[in-house]
Amino acid sequence: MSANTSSQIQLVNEKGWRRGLGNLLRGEYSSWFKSSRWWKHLLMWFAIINGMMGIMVIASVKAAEEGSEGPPILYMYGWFGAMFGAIGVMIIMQRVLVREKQQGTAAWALSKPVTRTAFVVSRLVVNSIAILLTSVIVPGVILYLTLGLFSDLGWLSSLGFMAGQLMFVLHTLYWIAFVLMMGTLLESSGGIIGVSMALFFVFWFGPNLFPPLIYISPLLLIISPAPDQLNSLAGSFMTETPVFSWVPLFSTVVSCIFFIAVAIWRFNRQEF
Amino acid sequence: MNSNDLVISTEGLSKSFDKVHALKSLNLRVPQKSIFAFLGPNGAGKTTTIKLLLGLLKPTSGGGKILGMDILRDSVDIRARIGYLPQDARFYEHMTARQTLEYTARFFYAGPQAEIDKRVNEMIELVGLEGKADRPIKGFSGGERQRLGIAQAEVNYPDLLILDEPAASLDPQGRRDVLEVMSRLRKYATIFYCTHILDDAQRISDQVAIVNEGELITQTSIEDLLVGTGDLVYSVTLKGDTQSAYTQVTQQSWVSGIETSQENGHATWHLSVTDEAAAEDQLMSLLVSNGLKVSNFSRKEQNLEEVFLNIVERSQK
Repeated sequence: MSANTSSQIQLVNEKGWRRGLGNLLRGEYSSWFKSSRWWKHLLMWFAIINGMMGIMVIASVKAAEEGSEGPPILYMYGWFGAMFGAIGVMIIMQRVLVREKQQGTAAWALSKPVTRTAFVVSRLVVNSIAILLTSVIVPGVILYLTLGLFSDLGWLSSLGFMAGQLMFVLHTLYWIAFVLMMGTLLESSGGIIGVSMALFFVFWFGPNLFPPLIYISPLLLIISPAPDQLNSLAGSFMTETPVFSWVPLFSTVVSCIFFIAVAIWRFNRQEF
Repeated sequence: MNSNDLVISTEGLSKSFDKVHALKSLNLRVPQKSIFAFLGPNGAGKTTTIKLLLGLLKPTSGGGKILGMDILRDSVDIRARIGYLPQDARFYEHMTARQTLEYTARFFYAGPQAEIDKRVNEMIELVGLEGKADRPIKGFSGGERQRLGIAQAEVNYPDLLILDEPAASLDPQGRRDVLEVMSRLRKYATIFYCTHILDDAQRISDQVAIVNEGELITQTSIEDLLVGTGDLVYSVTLKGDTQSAYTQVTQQSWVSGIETSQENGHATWHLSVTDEAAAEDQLMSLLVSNGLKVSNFSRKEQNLEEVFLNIVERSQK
């Protein structure tokens, strides 16, 4: 039973910051997809997004029958996506690093040959995939079919809808990266949710007081300030109308990179 | 001792948390293939030392080497060659014991799967978890978690096992099992462990270090520690008038102290002596020449607990 004397067993061959990444990804993946967690989330998001949007579609059909104006379906989709998407991400992601630090599983995993960067990246990648799949992509596809089959909007341009969905993905990634970063800066779940909610409401209400905020707000990727005001980027793509500004897209991408960099930097300096 | 013979060596390893000096300039030497007990009261700096060695904490000053590698620069390479059992071993609750061991093994081994399965089965057998290997960890008792902890620490056949309180929170049978596993592993790896169960340390360790309030008080072999501290103590049980014998004995230059007690007409003396030969030559004859009947005459063996308490108390004065 001496070190690695087994004739056939092969050592892991990862170098640099990727040491341990493959296995960390595998472990985090199993926590989502080899348990009931993924379909519970999927069911929850289906109920929230597709349930709400189903009601909107029924209302719009009824309105069309009565000859009146129905609810702004795509605006409401952005509204639900922004509100529930951001809050959902905060609830899911606040546990990711903090709970592992508190429970000691992070210290245990870091006592193995893994880098801290690999640890953060594994949590970011798997949780992003799981959250995007269950809260954006699958509900988005179902919505596309619902709109095409039942609403008076008909079949939207699939390319335009996909581009719009990409904005929802970016908006969700923004909150994932932000909450992950907060998980490395704060030690309590309450604090993380509090700060994240505060930022969300700054973006939600702030542009009314300080209009330039819309240019750095991730919300503007998917939700218009009001249905009759300028279109969100997602709305523009889906309805194939001109985009009011590319700045929110650019600032969201830059913010995500910044948040992830801070999370990695900070986690590498933490003590367990 | 040649530095190549050392598995762990630290130089002035120190750690402060704000204004609290948790570890003060630790110079530790852990020889190869030893079972090294790292002892100290609660809060002495034992777990801090282990976390510094593993790279979970960063030293305020000083450094060290494990298996010839620098604990700061080569931390990931070091962790590839050691096994670690944390004090309160916590694993991912959604996994079974087998999945936990496979997950741990995959940090070290890429495959093939059959070889990894073989290793996992070997570890399950090593710690006697055969019947519970496929149950979720959620329902495991403290003892079962601890055994799983030892199995995951050994899964990569490490050159060095670092165990933080491996037998704490276990019932006597669990403790015995863990010590038995540790004894079995000694021929394959150096075992560095901290404990406050001194009986266990005396039973299986060959090297001991005692740390108190962040300072290394002593570091030596267990034999040297048990014989080499303080005076020898003889225990005698006497019948008769002990007055004159007491006066004569206390006047001997090799007697450093006597504790007496009386029970059922018998007097019991615990004599601390500074010269073993003089005591063996003269003590008995002194007692008998004073008309005393000696019903018990023995040299009192010191145990690790007494030595430990002496050393710790002395270090606090």
